[in-house]
Amino acid sequence: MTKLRPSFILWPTLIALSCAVGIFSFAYVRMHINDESRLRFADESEAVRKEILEESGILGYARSLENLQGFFAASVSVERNEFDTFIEHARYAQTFPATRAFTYIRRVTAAERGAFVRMVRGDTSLEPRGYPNFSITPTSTSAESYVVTYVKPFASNEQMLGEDLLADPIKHAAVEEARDTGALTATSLFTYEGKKYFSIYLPVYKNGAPRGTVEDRRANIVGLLAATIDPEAMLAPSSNTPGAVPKIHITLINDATGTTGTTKSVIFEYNGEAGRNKEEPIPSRMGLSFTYQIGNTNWTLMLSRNITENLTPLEISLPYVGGVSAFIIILLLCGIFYSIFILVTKTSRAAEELAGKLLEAEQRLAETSTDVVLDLDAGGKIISINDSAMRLLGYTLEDVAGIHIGRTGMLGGSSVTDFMRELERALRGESLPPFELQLVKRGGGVLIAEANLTLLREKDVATGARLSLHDITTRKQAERALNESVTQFKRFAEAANDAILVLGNSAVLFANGRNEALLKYSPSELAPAGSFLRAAVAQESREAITNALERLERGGWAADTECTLLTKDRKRIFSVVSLSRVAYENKPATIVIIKDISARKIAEQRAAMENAIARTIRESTPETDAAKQLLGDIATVFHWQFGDIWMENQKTNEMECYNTWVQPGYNLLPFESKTRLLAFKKGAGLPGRVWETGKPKWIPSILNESNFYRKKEAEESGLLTAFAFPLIVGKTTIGVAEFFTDSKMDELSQELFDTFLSLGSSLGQFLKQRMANEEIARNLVDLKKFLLAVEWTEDSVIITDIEGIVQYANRAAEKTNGYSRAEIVGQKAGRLWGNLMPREFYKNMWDIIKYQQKTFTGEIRNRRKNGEEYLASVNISPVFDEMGIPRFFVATERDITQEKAVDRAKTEFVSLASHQLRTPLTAINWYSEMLLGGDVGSISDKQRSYIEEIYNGGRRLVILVNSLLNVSRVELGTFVVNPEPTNVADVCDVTLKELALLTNSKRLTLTRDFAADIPVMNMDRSLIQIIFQNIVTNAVEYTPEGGRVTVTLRKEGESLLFKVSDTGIGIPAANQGKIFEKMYRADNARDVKTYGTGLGLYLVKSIVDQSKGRIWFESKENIGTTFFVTLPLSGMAKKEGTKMLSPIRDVV
Amino acid sequence: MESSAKTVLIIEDHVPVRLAIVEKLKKNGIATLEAKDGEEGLQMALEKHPDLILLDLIMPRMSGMTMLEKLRKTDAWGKNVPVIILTNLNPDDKIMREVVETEPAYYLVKADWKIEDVIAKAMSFLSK
Repeated sequence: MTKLRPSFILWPTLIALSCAVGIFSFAYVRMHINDESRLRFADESEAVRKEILEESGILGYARSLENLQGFFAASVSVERNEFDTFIEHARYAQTFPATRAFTYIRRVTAAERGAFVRMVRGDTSLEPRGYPNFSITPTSTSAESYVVTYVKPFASNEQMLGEDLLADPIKHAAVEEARDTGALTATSLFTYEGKKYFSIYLPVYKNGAPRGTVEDRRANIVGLLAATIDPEAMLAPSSNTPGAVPKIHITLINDATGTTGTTKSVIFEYNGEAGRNKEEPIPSRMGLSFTYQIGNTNWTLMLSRNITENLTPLEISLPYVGGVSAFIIILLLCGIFYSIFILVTKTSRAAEELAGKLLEAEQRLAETSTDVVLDLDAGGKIISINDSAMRLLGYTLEDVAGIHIGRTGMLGGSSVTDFMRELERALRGESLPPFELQLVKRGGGVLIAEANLTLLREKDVATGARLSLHDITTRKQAERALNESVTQFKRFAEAANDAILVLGNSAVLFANGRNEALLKYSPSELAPAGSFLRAAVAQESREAITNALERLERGGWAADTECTLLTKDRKRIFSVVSLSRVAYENKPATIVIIKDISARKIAEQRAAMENAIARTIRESTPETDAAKQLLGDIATVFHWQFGDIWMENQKTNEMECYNTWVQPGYNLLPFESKTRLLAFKKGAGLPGRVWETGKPKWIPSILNESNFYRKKEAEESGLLTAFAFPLIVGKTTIGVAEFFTDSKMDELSQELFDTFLSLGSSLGQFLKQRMANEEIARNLVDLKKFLLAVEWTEDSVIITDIEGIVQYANRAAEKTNGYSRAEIVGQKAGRLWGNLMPREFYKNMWDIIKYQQKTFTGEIRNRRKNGEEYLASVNISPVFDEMGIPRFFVATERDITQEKAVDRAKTEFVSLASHQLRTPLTAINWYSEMLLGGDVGSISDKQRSYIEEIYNGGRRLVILVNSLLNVSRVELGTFVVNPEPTNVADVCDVTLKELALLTNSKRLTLTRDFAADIPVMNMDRSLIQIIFQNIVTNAVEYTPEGGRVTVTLRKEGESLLFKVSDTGIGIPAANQGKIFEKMYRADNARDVKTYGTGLGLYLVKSIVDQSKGRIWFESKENIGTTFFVTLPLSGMAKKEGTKMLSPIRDVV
Repeated sequence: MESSAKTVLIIEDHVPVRLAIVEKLKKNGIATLEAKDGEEGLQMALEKHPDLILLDLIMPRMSGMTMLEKLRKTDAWGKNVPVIILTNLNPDDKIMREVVETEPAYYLVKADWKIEDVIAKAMSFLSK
């Protein structure tokens, strides 16, 4: 931890920061307040403006003259009293209070002047006496004058009457402007009777005269109407509103056009603040101006205000408040953070400081101030002193030589007596330990010294003693300081975050509170120092700590050491331990500062584990037991004692133990054995649970865990806690890794949990790969066995490539075709031993295997090397790779020559046998027929019946022979199937017709239920006939008289359905299982039909099976039977054979 | 009688069968000729030119098939004379092939046929 000297950087920075924040806050709040002020100003200005512009404002005043002008235009002439009345009636005085006077000004030419004056003087229309004193003022001699003729109100404005406007330059300009433009014109401000006014003029022209051009107007101007207005009265905002007049500065400026051009003149100013000195410049910051054109004058109305003028004091002060508070707050926050920071680093700093202090103290102690050596004689008188004495004590030899030491004043106070005592002992020859002496310097000042007295001898005679004094003043001071420091130290230590211990030689001298929190040992438990080392330091760290302590004792300083501690409850804690040697309460001691670095350790562990695992995986070969190694890598890092891996057995759906690892030096046999024996289903036991959830699981106490199957063995082996995590490939859990330890394992942090989860992924992949490789190795063994099997099988096996070139031939192949493997391999298959079949045969074969990519089965005739021909049953199949592309052909051949021969013999025998049987039967039957037919004479009834018996027997025998023939063909598989397009409905009808006689004689109701849409199917006619005949005949024969037989024929899905149901004797349940067996007859069948062969259904079933159809029945004894036969609509497949099955006319 | 002066040659080695047929034919007013093996039969056929030949297959010295092959190859008459094969052999591939080639008029299995029907069949050929 570096020593901090932040003060000279930190405080200015803090202050600057706070200032910045304060200023920012100030500006922000200020801006906000100003906006507020502006808004208020805008509102109020608007109000003022409206008021000013209202009818009674500027615009209104302008219009006042217009009305008047209208009046003049409407009249031929306007008399004085009319003028007066008009204005009176129009209530101008009330409407325009700011107008001082309304006047009519008459243009008077020089010639008219005299008459005009006289006229006015004599005008009594308004004033009874007229105006005797009227005159044009100032007297003018110019060509024309514009004279104020009418004035209203007259009373206060008498002076106006007779004024010649042209005399005043301001008015003159405006008059001419008005005359020339015909528009309302305003003058700038002028003074009248001490007040400021302005006038507005509106010209009056001759009625009806043209006034389009300036010339016209000049020619036809008659006079002017004027209003003299007090701007202040007009514009000052009314104070009628309750509350204060708004503080707005109002300025009205008009562009007065005059002869000299346009000048702006301020008509009116109002600053809205009562008592304010109007001359002072207004520092306005907000302003609005509005421009209006009235007549030919531009009026500019400016409203302005100082930003702060309508802010309350609070509002004005708010920015400052904000700024200052922000400044203070930031300062405070920084202060707080700093204090926290300081506090945090205080302990280590304190410790360091203290250690430093202690070291300093030690060093100071170690400093040897040069010793004072005094030689004394036997009496205690000083013989000699050394230089140090002088330096240290200030005495010279001269001062003290020959004087008894006690009397020199060197020895302070009580020391004299102590010293004398020691001296006597020394002189007696005792060897003395060092003792303390108080010394007094010459000029005053006390020293503490360590005194050593040694005997001085001369030839065995004690001549005196040598006193060496070692200044231990500083040491003494240091010790005192140390004692103080200790108290201080203790205080700091208690507040520290780390555990701090002070170990003495035989005891723990001090342990701060953190020790108990960290290690769970109470101070008394820790007291004996040895016990601390034994109990709290874990086995693996003892050596390191012991070494460090030894180093300390030798050198003085030891580097920080990593140390694993064991808490009282057997938990492992990783820490870094700082050791330093000090004097504590005057005794040599070791300060132990323990920093808990569990978090760091965990990160290190993780890294170590990942590295170890990566290396193991990298360096694994098929021979290494990588799984075991990996378990060891993980377990070692965490000091776990046992690890195992479980992998899923796909066949049994259980997890089985794949491998185990035990920490060397540990015997965990019971547990290990049990583990290897078990298998877990999903959810069972620890592996089962992790398998199910796919998440790591931690069991803090095995013995308290349900769903753990190895509790007993765990207890025996001393294992306490367990941890397991899943081994994952993709999203599937393929295995589980478990670990067990004999110490209490802390619940792993979320970080480690996540680490193991991702570890599970990489391990899963790796193990899966390994297992796959092992599988391949196993398969290889199987493959070898397989190859052996192929090699030695009786059937000839030849493998060719896609072109038919032989790649491999087994022994049987050699034997079969007589060629050696060397001759066969590399040749096109069949080149040597084939080519006996017609071309189509080989073409068809290739077509099937190569282009249709199907298996070819057939019988082929080949020739051996020795020329012998043989018949083989051959099977050639294409072999595909993963992408479905044929790569090889595999041909198996079986020499069936012998078989064929045997078959042929059998068939021929059967044919022959049946022929031999039939021959005598023919004779029996025909002769019987002839007898019965009366060919050789008539016979008696009895004779007839006897002969009929013979005849029946004969016929039955014929039927039996035919059935046996069919059966033998079915058995030998030699019957031929010759499908051709057949109308099965017709064939069925034939059957029904054949049975018609019997059906009628038994009075059976035969229902023919054929669907209309039965298609023409590829059937072998005789075979389908056999099916129909047998089933229907059975129904007819086994149904008693008067019963019902229904024959149904229709399409059903992809099949043809042939159904025959009857109300016959039914098949007893016990017999139903055997009904399709050769020669089998149900128990109740014999009663009805004694001569049945029991072969019919067997035959039918064989045919149906051969045709890939289905046959089944439903029957209840004495109720009836229904037989069902389905045949695929695609018809029968052609079958090569040698014989046809013959339909059996089983009817008598 | 429509069948007057018709001759039928019966080639059959089994005596009772041969006799039965001869009897029956005679009853129908047919003249009959008999032979007990293929060789004899062939000779007789070529000599006597019967209108119809009833031929058994399994016979000593020359089988019916051989005889028929030879007959068909002899001359025009031999080629065309109607032959009914009367046998107790089931038709199988080999025989069927030969049957097709030798073009008998008919083929039947004795044991499966009533004698009456056999005679009726023969008569039907004679009346053609």
